[in-house]
Amino acid sequence: MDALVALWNVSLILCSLGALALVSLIMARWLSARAEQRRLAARRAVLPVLLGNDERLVQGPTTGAAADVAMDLTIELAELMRGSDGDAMLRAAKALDVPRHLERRLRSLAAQERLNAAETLALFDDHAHAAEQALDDRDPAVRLGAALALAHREEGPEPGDILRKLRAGVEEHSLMLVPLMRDFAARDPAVVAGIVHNESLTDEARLSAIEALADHGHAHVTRIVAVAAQHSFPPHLEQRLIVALGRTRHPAARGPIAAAMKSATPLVRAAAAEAAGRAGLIDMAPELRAMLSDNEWIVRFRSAEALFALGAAGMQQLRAAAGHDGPVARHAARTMLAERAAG
Amino acid sequence: MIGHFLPGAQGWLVSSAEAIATVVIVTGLLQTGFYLVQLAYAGVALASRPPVSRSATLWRRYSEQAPAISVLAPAFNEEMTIVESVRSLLALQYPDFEVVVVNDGSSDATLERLIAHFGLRPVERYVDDSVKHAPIRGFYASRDVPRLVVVDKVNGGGKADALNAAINCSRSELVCAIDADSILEDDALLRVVRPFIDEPQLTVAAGGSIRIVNGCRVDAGRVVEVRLPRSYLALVQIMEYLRAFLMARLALGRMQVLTVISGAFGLFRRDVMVEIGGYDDTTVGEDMELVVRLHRHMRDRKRDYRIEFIAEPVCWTECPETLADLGRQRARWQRGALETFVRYRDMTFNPKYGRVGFIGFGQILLVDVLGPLIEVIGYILLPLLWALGLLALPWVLGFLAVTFTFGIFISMATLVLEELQLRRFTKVRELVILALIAVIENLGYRQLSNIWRLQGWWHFLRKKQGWGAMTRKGFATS
Repeated sequence: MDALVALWNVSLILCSLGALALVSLIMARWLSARAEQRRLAARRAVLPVLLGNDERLVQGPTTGAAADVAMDLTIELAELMRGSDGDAMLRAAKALDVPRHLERRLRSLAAQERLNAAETLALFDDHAHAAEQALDDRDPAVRLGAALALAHREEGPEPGDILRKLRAGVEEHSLMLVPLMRDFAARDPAVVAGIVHNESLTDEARLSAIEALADHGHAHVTRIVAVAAQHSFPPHLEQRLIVALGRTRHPAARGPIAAAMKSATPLVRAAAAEAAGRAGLIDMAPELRAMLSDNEWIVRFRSAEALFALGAAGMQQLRAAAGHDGPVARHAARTMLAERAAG
Repeated sequence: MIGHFLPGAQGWLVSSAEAIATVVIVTGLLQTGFYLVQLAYAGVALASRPPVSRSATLWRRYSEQAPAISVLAPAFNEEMTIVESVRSLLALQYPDFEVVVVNDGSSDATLERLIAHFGLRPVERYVDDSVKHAPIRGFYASRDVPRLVVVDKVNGGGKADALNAAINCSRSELVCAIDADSILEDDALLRVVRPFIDEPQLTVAAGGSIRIVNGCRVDAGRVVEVRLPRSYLALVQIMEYLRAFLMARLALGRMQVLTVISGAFGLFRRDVMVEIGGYDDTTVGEDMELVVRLHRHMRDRKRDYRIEFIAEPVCWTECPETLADLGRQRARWQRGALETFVRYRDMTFNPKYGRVGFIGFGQILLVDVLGPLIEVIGYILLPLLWALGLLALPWVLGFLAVTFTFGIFISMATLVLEELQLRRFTKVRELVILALIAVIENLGYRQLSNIWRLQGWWHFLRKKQGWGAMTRKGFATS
C-alpha cells in the first residue's frame, strides 16, 4: 500500500515540477519577447552600418547586446553576400569589432554557435587563424564545418593536418570530404595527389582525393588510374571511384571502367556504364549495348543513358538493339528512344 | 460491500481484485518507465544533435555532393489539394530531385487537374519492374516542368501499391515517400538527407517530423504563418504528434530501434527498397511494416546499417477534426501496428535481432499490443472494484498515477523539451494553450483514444480491410 501511495506522490511531484518548468519557460518567453523588441531595434540600427558600404557610419566597436546583434547579422550576411559587397560588409563588421566577439563565441557551449563563429571567422583575413581552433572542437560537425571554411585559404592549415584532425575515414565518413579535397586541390593539386598515394590514409580519404582530382584536369589522371587498378575498394566506394574516373574524360580510364562493367555488384556495373558515357568512350558502345540485356534495370537504364551520351555512335547501337537484340534489351532501347524522342 | 453478502468469498475476491489492479498498474508503470527513458534519450539526442546549418549554407555545401532524390507522391482522389501540393513539391530547395506523382486510379479529377495545370502530355518512360504493383496506364510530363512526371495507374487498393509503382518509376539514388496531401517545408529535403551525407554507406532510411497544418495560413503550397487550430481535437493531436516525434521517434532513433518512419515523410535508399520488394500492400500499416522489414532484412544478412530520425525537417499534414474521422484513423493505426507485430512476432526478444527485438518490439508489445487492452480494463474494473469495497483507495491512486498524472508529466516534459530545443511555437499564448492541453487531454481524450485502439484490435481480429475515408478541408481553407 505504501508503494502505491508513494507512486501517487511521485507522480504528483513530477507533475508539479513539470508545471513549474513550463511556467518558468512561459515567463522566460514573455520576457524574451520584450527583449526581442529591443533586439529588433538594435538590428535596425546595425544593419545599415553593415550594408551601408560607408565606413563613416561606423561609430566604433560594439559592446553588449549590440555586439551580439552585430555578430548575428554578420553571420547571416556572410552567407548571402559575396564579392565586393561581401568585402565591404566584412570591413564594416571588423570596424564593429565583430571578429573579436566571434573569437569569444568559439568557446560557446552550443555547437551551433561555435560552428557559425568558425565559419564566419574564416572569412576575415586577419582572424582566420582563430577559426583553426575549431578544428580541435569536440563536435565532429564543427570540426568539419571549420575545415570546409578554411580549406580554400592559401595560408590555411596543411591538408594533412586537417585530415588527421577530422580523422577522415575513421570517424568522419561524410561526403563533404570531397568538396574539402576540391578546395585543397584548387590550392595545390600535388598535395591532393599525394593523399591519393598515401597508403596510411583510409580508403575514404583517398577516394575523396581521387574524386576531387577527377574534376581537376588531366595532370593526375594516370596516377588516379594506377591507384584504381592496383587498389581494391569495397563496392560502395568502388561505385564512386568508377564514376569519378568517368568524370576525368580521359581514355586512360578505360581499363578500370571496362573491368567494373563485369563486376558482380549491379550498382558498380551501373556506375561503369555511367562512367563510360561521361568519359565519351565511344569504342565501348558495343559493351554498353550488351549491358542493355543486364538482369538489373538500373544497369540497363544507365547503359542506355550512356549510349545517348556517346552521340551518333551510341544512338546507332541503341537503334540496332531496338531492332535486333533480345526482348529485354529491345524493350530498354525502344522505350528509351521513344522517351528521348518525345522529351 | 460484497464481503457483507458473501463473507466466505471476501478474501478470494480481494486477492483477485488486487491481482487485476497489480497487472494494470505494473503495465502502466512499465509504459511510463519506458516513456521516461525515451524522454531522457530525446533530451540527450536534441542537446547533442549536430549543429543545424541554415538552408543557404546547406545548399552551398550540398550543391555538388547531395545524392539525387525522387519525391514519391501517391494521390488518390486529391483533386482539392493536388495542384497546390505538387507546386509546393516543385518549389523544394534541393540540388537534384524529381517529383513522381502517382494517380492511383482516382475517381475524381485529380489527373485532369494535374494535366490542365502543368500542361502535361502523354509520354513514354523506361521504368523498372522489380517491385510489384497494379498496372500502369500511362505517363504524363511536360518540357516546361522537367522535374515532374505523373504516373497514371489502376487502383491497387492502397497507398503501398501506388508507392511501389513510384519506386519503379523513380531514377534517383534516394526515394522520398510522402503523402500528396502534405506540405514539405522548402528545405526539408536538404535537412533530411543529412544522414545519407554523413554516413553514406550505413544509412538506409531517415524520417523527419510531421506537424499539423490545421490552423496555419497556407499560401501557394507553403505554410506562411504557423498558428494553432481552434478545434480541440486538432489541438490534442498537436500534443500527440509532439510526443510521437519529438520524444518517441527521436529517442528510438537515437537507440537505433526506430520501428516506424511516417508514411507522410521518409527518405530511403532506392536500391535497398527494391531489394526488399518495396511496400507491402496487404497491411494498413505499410510504413511500419516497411521499417520493421528493413531491420529484419539487414540483420538477417548481418549488414551494418542505420535508420535515423531527424527532428528539423518538417512535413505539414492535415489532421482529422471530427471524432468519426479521427476514430477511423486511430483504429487503422492500431490495426497496422498489430498486423506488423503479429507478422514479425518471432523478432520479439529474439537475440538475433538485438536491440530491435528487445527494445523496438518490447515497445510495440507494451504500448501498442497490450497497452490499450489493459488500460481500458483498468478504467472499467478498478473504479468498480473500489466501489464494491474490494480495493483500497491506494490502488485507485496508483492507477490514477499511471494513467493520469504521469501522462500529464510526460506531455509537459515534452513541451519543455520543445521549448528548450526547437521553439517552433512562436507566441507565448500558443505555449500556454498547449500547456493546458497537456493536462486536459488526459481527461477524456486519452480514454476515447484507447477505445478507438480497441476498435482497431477488433478490426484486426475480424481481419477487416480498407482504409476508410477522411473529410479534408484543403489547405486553402486551413
